[in-house]
Amino acid sequence: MNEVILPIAIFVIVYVLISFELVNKVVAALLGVATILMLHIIDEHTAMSLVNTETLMLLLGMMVIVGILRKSGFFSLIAVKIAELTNGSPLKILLFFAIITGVLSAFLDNVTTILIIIPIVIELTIGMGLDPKIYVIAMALISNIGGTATLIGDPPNILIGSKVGLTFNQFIANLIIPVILAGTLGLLYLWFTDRKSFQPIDKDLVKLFSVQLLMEKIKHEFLSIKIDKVFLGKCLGMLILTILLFVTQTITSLSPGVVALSSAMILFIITKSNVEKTLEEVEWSTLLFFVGLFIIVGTLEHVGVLEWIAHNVFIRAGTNPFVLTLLVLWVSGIVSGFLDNIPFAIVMIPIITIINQATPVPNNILWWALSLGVCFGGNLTMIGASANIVSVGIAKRHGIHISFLDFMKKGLPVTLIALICSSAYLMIYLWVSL
Amino acid sequence: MSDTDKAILNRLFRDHGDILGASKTTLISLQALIASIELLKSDKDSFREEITKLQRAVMETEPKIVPLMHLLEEWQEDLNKSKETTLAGMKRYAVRSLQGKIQEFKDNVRLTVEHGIDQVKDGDIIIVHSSSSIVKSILIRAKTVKKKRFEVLVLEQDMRITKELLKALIQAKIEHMVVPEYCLNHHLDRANKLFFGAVSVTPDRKAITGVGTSGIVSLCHLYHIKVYLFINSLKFAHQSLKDQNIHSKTVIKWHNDYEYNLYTHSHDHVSLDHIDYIYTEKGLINNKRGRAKRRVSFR
Repeated sequence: MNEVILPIAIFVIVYVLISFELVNKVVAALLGVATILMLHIIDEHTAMSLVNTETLMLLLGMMVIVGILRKSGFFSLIAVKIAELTNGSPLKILLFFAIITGVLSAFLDNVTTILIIIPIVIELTIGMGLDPKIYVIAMALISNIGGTATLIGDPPNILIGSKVGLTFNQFIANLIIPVILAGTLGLLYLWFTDRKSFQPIDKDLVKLFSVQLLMEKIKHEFLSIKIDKVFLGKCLGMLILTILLFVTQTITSLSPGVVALSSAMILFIITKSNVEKTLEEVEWSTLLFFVGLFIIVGTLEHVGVLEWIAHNVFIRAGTNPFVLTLLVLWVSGIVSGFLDNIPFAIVMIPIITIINQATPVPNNILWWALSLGVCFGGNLTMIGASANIVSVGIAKRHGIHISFLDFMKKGLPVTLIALICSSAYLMIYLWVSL
Repeated sequence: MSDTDKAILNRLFRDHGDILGASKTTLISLQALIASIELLKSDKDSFREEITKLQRAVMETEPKIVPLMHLLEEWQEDLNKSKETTLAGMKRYAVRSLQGKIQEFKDNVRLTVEHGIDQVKDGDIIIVHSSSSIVKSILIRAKTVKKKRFEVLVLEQDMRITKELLKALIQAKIEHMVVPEYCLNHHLDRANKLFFGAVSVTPDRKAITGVGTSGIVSLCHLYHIKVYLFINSLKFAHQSLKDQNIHSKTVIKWHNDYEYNLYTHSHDHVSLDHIDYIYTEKGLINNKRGRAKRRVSFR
C-alpha cells in the first residue's frame, strides 16, 4: 500500500509547492526525486530510465539555437520594421505585432518571443500615449496560441511529440486550423471590446508627426547593435535547415531532439560563438525541472497510479470518443489555467496513452485535444503560462501594473473562445475520422 | 492639442536632442514631417489647419528647437505663396518645400563643419562633452579626410549620450580618453581646446546647451582653455533665455531613509562671454558684447 500512497503524497506535495510558488519549482521537483530515492520507492537506475532524453535534447538544442540567433539582432530588426509598417495606427500595432508574435512563437519558445516583442510594443504604445496594457496582454495571449501550432512552439507540445512520437508535420497539419481560428477570433474579441482605443490617427498631423519621431527613437534604441550579415546568414541558414529537417523527419528518420542538438553544435562551430556565454543563456533550471518531473510522474506510472486515474476518472466517463475528447480538452484547458501546464502535460501523457489503449480514438485526436487544452488553457490566468508571467514582469519594469484580474478579464474570454473553437474543430475532425 | 500629446512631443524632442544633438533632431523632424504629410488623410481645408496646429505645437516645445521653428516659419511662408488648389497638389508642394529646407539646413551644417575642421590642429587635445552632431562630424572629418593627429578627451556623463560619441570616435579610429565629467580638473594642464554645440543662442547672449556644459565651459574659461562653439546660424533665436522653455521637473528621490525632491532642468545655459570662438556656416562671428544681438538676426 505504501508503494502507492508515498509517491502520491510526494507528487501532491511537490505540486502544491510548485503551484503556490512556496519554493523554487526546480528545488521542489528535485526534492521530490530525492525523497523518492531515499525512500527506495525506485532506484537510481530506474529513475534515470524515466527521464525522456529526447525532450531534453530538443529543448537544449532549441535554446542554444535561439540564444545564438538572438545575438544577431535579427528579431529586433524584424520588430522595428513591423513598428514602422504600422505607421502608428493602433489597430495595425495590435494586428501586425500579433501576427509576428504568433509566427515567432510557433518556431521559437514563447518567452524568447515575448522578450523581443513586448519592450518594443511598450515603447511604441507609451510613446503614442496609448494604454500599453491591452497590447501586452494581447501579445502574451497570442504567443501561447501561436506556440500551439508546432512541435517546438510550446514545451507541452515538445513533451507530447517526443513521448508519443508525433512529427513536426503532424503537429502543423492537425493544429494550424484551430490555432488560426482561435488567434483570429481572440484578436477580434480584443479589438471589439476596446474598439474606441483603436481609433486611427491618420487625420491628425501632430500625432502622425509624433509617431514618426517615435519610430526614429525606437530604431535608434533597438537597432544600436550593428548587424553582422555573415553571422546572421549562418544563423538563419541553420535555423531554416533545422526546420527543414523537422519537416522531413519521416524521410530522414532523424528525431527532432537529434536534429536540434546537432544543429546547435554545428551553429557553435560555424559562428564561433562563445560557448560559455551562450550556455549561460540556456534555461538549465527548466531542463532540471523537466528531469525532476519526469522521474516523479514516471514513478506514479511505475506504481500504477496513473493507470488507476485513467480508468477511474476518464474511462469511467464512458467510451464515447466525442465525450472523451471534449473531457480531455476542457479538463486540460481549465487545469492549465491555474497550474503550470508543463507538469500537467507530463501527468496527462501516460493517462491518455492508457485511455487510447482502452478506447482507441482515431488520428491521434486525443493528443491534439491535450495539446490544444494545455497550450490554450495557459491563457486563462496570469500564472497559466511562462509567457504571461514574463510579459507582466516586463510591463512592471516599465511602470505598468497588470493585475491578476486585468489579465483574467482578457484571458478568460480569449481562452473560452479558443477552447470552443478547438471543441468544434475536434468534433468535426472526429466525426469525419469515424 | 491635448496635454498628453504635448507632453509626448516634448519628450520626444528632448530624447532626440539629448542623444543626437539639436541639428540631427531638426533633420529627423523635417523628415518625419514629410512622412506625416504623406500619411495624412484630410480634406483640403483641414490640411492647412493641421499644419498650423503642428507649427503651434513645435513653437511650444520644451526646450524650443529653434532651427526647426525658423525652418517651419519659412515653410509656412512658402505654403502661403502656393497656388495649388487640390489636396494632392498642396501635399506635393509642401513636401517639395520641406525637402528644400532639409537641403538648406544640411548645407549650413556642412559649411559649419568645414570651418570647424580648420580649427583642429596637429597635437591638439580637445575636450568634448556633448553629443553635438556638428562636433562629431568635425572630429571625424579632421581625422579621416584631413588626417590630423589629435586626441579627444571625452567627458563621461549620461552613458546614452557618451556612448554615441564613443561609437563615432572608435569608428573613425580617433585617439581618445574617457574621463568622468567631474574629474576634468585633473586634465586641464593637458587639454588645449573645448568643442561643443548648442541647441540655440539667444539675443541676451546665452547658448542653450546640454546639461553639464555650463560648468565645463566655466572651468575651461577659468583655465584659459580655448572654448569653441560650433553652431548653425539657424539656431539663433529671436527670443531671450526665459522664453526658451527649458524643461524643468521635480522628482521625488529616496536614499536609505531620506526622501527628498530633486529639481532638474533639461538643458544648461552658457554665457557667450565665456566662449572664445563662435563658428557658424559663415565662419568666425564676432562675439563681442553688444554685437551678438545684431548677429542673432543676421539671417
